[in-house]
Amino acid sequence: MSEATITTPLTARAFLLGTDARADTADSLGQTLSRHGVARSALRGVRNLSTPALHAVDGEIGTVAQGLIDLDLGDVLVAGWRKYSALTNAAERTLAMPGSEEVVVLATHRVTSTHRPYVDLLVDGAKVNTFDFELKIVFDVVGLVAVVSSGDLVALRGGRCVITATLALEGAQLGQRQARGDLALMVQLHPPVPLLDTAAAARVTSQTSGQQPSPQPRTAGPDGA
Amino acid sequence: MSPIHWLVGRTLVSVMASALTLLVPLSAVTSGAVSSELAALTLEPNTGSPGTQVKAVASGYANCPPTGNDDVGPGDVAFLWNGEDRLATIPVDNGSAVATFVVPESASLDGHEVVARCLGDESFTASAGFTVTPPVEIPTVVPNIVGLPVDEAADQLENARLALGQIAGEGEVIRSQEPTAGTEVEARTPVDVVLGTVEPVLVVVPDLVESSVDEARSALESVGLRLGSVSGSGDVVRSQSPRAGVEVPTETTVDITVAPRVPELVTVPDLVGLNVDDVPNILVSAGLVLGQISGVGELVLSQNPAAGTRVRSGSEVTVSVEGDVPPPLLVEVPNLVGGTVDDAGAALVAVGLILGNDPPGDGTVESQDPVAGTLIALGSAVTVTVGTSSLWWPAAVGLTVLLGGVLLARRALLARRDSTWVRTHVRAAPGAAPGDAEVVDSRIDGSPPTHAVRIEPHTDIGTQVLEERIR
Repeated sequence: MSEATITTPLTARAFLLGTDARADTADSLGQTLSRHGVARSALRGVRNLSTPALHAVDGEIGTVAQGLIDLDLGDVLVAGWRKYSALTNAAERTLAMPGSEEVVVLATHRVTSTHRPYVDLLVDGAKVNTFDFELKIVFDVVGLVAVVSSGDLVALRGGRCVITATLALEGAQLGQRQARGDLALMVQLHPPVPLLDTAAAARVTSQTSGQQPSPQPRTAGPDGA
Repeated sequence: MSPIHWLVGRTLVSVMASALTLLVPLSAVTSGAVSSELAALTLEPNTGSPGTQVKAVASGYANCPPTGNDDVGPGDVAFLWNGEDRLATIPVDNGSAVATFVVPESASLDGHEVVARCLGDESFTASAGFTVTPPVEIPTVVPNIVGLPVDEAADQLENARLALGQIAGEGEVIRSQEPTAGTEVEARTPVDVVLGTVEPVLVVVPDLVESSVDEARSALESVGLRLGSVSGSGDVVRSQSPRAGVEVPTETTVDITVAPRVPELVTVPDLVGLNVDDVPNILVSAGLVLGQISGVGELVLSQNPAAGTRVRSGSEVTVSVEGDVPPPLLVEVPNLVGGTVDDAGAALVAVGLILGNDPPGDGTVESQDPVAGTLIALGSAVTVTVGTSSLWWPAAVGLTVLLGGVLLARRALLARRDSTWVRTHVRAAPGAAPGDAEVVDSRIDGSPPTHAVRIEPHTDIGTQVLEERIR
């Protein structure tokens, strides 16, 4: 567990496995897989497959696995916020009122993002095993203020966040790390990030196309009121 | 000397003394007659309109004798307008008499004479001229008489010290006036009018609800309306008649009903988790103020009233704060497999964890969840699965050891050729699809590879769950 504070955009791979060269992290993950006997277990029914080949398979699984968790932590968190009514309501209001801006005080909340990528292992074209990975990223957010304008998240102020990420394969934990994050620096908001999906944004735009009230700054509470 | 001679002598002396006493005033009167020529009168001012206040100073009246039988005290000087109308009577003081009088309103606009006359001796008389001038005209403002009948307009003009001038046109009310209303003119200036029919000027009744009575009056007057009756009690207008938005003629009265002011309710924002330094501004934005802060720290732990509560605007919200949020403590799960349940329980307690289930204490742990090496929160539970105790386990252990020895020997054998064998026999090649990888176990003699192992990754964009935390 690390107590360092994340102050730059970071991927889950870099967060979990470090920010060293890609090959190193992949090799590290491959070695971890080897320690767990992943390939050996999966390919035990395949005759005449050498141990170096099994190690190579572990290494390759590690290589592709690290690609599967190459997810930007800020993007993952924003994806969770798209389910936050206080933010989406503010996004709809500001989209309906061009030029307006809302400062949304977010309640203490947790965003849990669960990813289940998998790797199929085929021998001579026949699938012999599937490796189910699970990447779980938990963001515990306290005291954050978000600025929403024109349906987009444009700024984050204050607040603190504790990020806990866990990578597991078939129930076996391959890595875990926890750290604090400075969301204002972690989440990339240039350009601003839309909080509404295309359909919702189009709906708001069509509803308000006939009326354009004057801009009026307002502050919304955690309930979106 | 006989007593009779003495008495006669005394009587003669007394008579002579009395005669001398009588002679003294006589000589004085004689000298006073001479002094009366010095009597003079000055007026300040000596010109002015009726009603002007004038100061009159009569000097040279030191010998003005008292009137009647009085032989002691100062004489009196009468001030007369045109020698007849007495303005004032003032006793002489140090030879002068000073009077202040007002020019009679009935005085004609020409020269007049003011006389100062000693009442005890009219030979002490002086006079001064005073010229009465026309009164100064004070400008007046022409009132608005448009819309009024002629009679009513004439009254208003008279009250304004003006006069009705020429009347032109036909009609019941005055349609226009010259000079116009608001013009400053001299008094008695005639105001010409044209009669006709005046179209009522319509104005929109303003919205008076929620305003005070004074505000309502000002709003009405600003558009040419007047405040009518005020019913009810309170300080806020609750209703009005005519209602807002209606067009009515100017000067229409608008009746209002007032009631006590209902306090505005606002919603208390959620402050929990915020930095206490940010709370005042957030509360002010919501129409509230920060009350007492209890505790030490920077993050708001709780608040009163709770978030979402509707309270009166301006109410206080108290908060309690806590120190920095301590990070959750994680501990590594120890390896419990192979030991007894009792051993597992002790090992878990030693690192701050607990046993999650209750298997027989003498059973051997075959598996555990979470697995060893996992980092979990302090105080979490770890469950174990135990096998039944039997007599064949020593044999199983022996067999395992034997098998392990064989495997180790084989691995050692293979390891000797790993470095060269891997370079020549194993290669990783790009897979058929992006991200795929392929491992081919080939032979050094060029014979076909025994197997091709392909690895195909499948991404998952994941699912996000958001939950608000009650702290």
